[in-house]
Order: sequence, then structure tokens, then C-alpha cells
Amino acid sequence: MEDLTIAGSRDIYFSPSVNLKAATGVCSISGESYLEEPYEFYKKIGMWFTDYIKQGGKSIVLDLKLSYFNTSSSRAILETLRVLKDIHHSGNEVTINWYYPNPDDDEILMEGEDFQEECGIPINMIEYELQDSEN
Amino acid sequence: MEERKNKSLIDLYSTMNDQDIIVYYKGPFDDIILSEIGNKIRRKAFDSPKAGKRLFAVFMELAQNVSLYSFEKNRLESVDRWGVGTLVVYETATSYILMSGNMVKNEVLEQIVKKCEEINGLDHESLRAMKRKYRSSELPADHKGGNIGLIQVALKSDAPLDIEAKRIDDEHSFFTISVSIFK
Repeated sequence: MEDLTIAGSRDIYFSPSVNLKAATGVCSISGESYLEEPYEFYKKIGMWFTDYIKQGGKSIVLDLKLSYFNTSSSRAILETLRVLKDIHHSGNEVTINWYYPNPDDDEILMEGEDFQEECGIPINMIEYELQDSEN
Repeated sequence: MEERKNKSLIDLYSTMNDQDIIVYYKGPFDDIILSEIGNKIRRKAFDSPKAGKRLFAVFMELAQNVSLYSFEKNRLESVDRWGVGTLVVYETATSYILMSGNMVKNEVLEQIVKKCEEINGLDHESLRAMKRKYRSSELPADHKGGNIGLIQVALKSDAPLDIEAKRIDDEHSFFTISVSIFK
């Protein structure tokens, strides 16, 4: 089982940085998401999770730290979270951490809450300090 | 004829000069244009990061709607992939105003107007619920986006969606939407 690694980029489209680790099941998706083919992009991630469990992986931790995503991406992200819900419901350990910036920006937090309500799996909401470079 | 054309362009330019315009664009909404204007908006609104982020998010959704759903397609290239429309962003002392406009089929216009009216009747929490409901349901076959762009625009802005439409002929109308974001 190989890692899935995608370097983040901000050109005509914005790709988040993706790090899915086969050795540990500790994974992260961070940055900005506005993609030409959002469904294909996130489908690949969902398939990696499914394969990881099929090949004997027992637990997945996913850190989501997204500062911007358009609505097409958000629909595709929801699909990925639903893949994780299915994995969780078939008896595997799944932890999802949703990072939102402070101060005075509750919009990313609300996005996390909405995802949680829709995908039907608990998501930990974790605040982080926004650095100037991330604005 | 040439003289009249020039005069109307001068009039248009003078009208725009009265306002603090950040962007005025008419043409195909291709991915490169979206990226250029998007970056310009981000830089412009840097002094107020929160408003800037919201302005950028609203711009992206409205611009993608024009790009995907405008009835009028790009005729400059052989591939008619990109929707054609117009977009203006300007600022007042207290707000950023973003307006977009494009051609739509009249039956599509009816659906958009209905959706905007529904959105305008909802408070913030009900809008979130509406977004969740739409996002969780299957996409209509002819949709390439997320089908929740207008709801997201309403969530990220500070006044009701201000929509207008002008009938062009029996089949088509020009549809505009205007959105305010407090600084």
C-alpha cells in the first residue's frame, strides 16, 4: 500500500495538500480547494481510504485544515466523509479533526458543523491560531 | 456609427468613474479570467481579511455560475465551453458590492428567481439547513457545480440577494444579481 501525496498548489486552480500515510493511517488534507475536477480529486482520496482498510488497516485519523473551498469542492468533500462514515460503521476506528481558525472567523467552524450533521460521523472541532501568512 | 460607439463607451466609462470600481469585466468567464480577477479581489481586500475572504468566496460562486450556466457561450474560440457574462465589483464607504449578469433561458430564470426568493425569506440558521439539504441530495443531471452556490452567496453576504431580470425575447432574459458585503 502506497502513501497518497499531493502537493498543494495555488495557480489557476487551487489544490489542497494531501498526505495519506499507509504506515500509520494518519492523514491530512489542508490548504485551499477549488479544482477543475473536484469529484475525481476527492474520489481518489475516498478510494485510498477504502483500499487501506481492505488491506488490513485498522484505524484512520484525518486532519482537515481547509481555509477555502468552493461549493463544488464541498460536495466532493462530503462524499469523502461519507466513505469514512461507512468505514467507521463497519467497525473500524475513524477520527476526524476539523481545524478552524481564530479569532473572529466562525465561518470555517460552521462549515465543519454542517459537514458533521450531514455525514453522520462525529468530527472534533479544533481551534488554531491563524498566522499572518495564512490570511 | 463609429462615433456613436465611442460616445457610448465614454458614457459607460464616466458612469463607472463615479464609483470606486475594483473590477469591471464583460466576456467569457474562463478559468484564467476567474483566477486573475479572484487574485485581484484578494489583494484589494487585504486590509479587511474577513470581508476579503467573504468577497472572494462570493465572487468565486457567482463567477462559476456565469461560467457554467450562462446561456451565451464564448464565440471567440471554437470550443464554446465558457459562459459569457459581466461582472462588476465596487466599494462604498461601508461595503463591497458585487454584481454579475448573464443570459438565461426564461424557464431557467423562473427557477433561479424562485430559489433566490426562497433564500431571501430565510434566516442564517435556515439557510444553513437549506444548504445541508441541497448538498445531501443528488445533483440534477444538468448540474456541473454543487447546486448550493447561491445559498453560499447568501450565507457569506450581508443583505438579501438583489436580483433583476430583463426579458430579451420569448426565450431569453438577461439576469443580474447584486450582493453586498460589509467591510
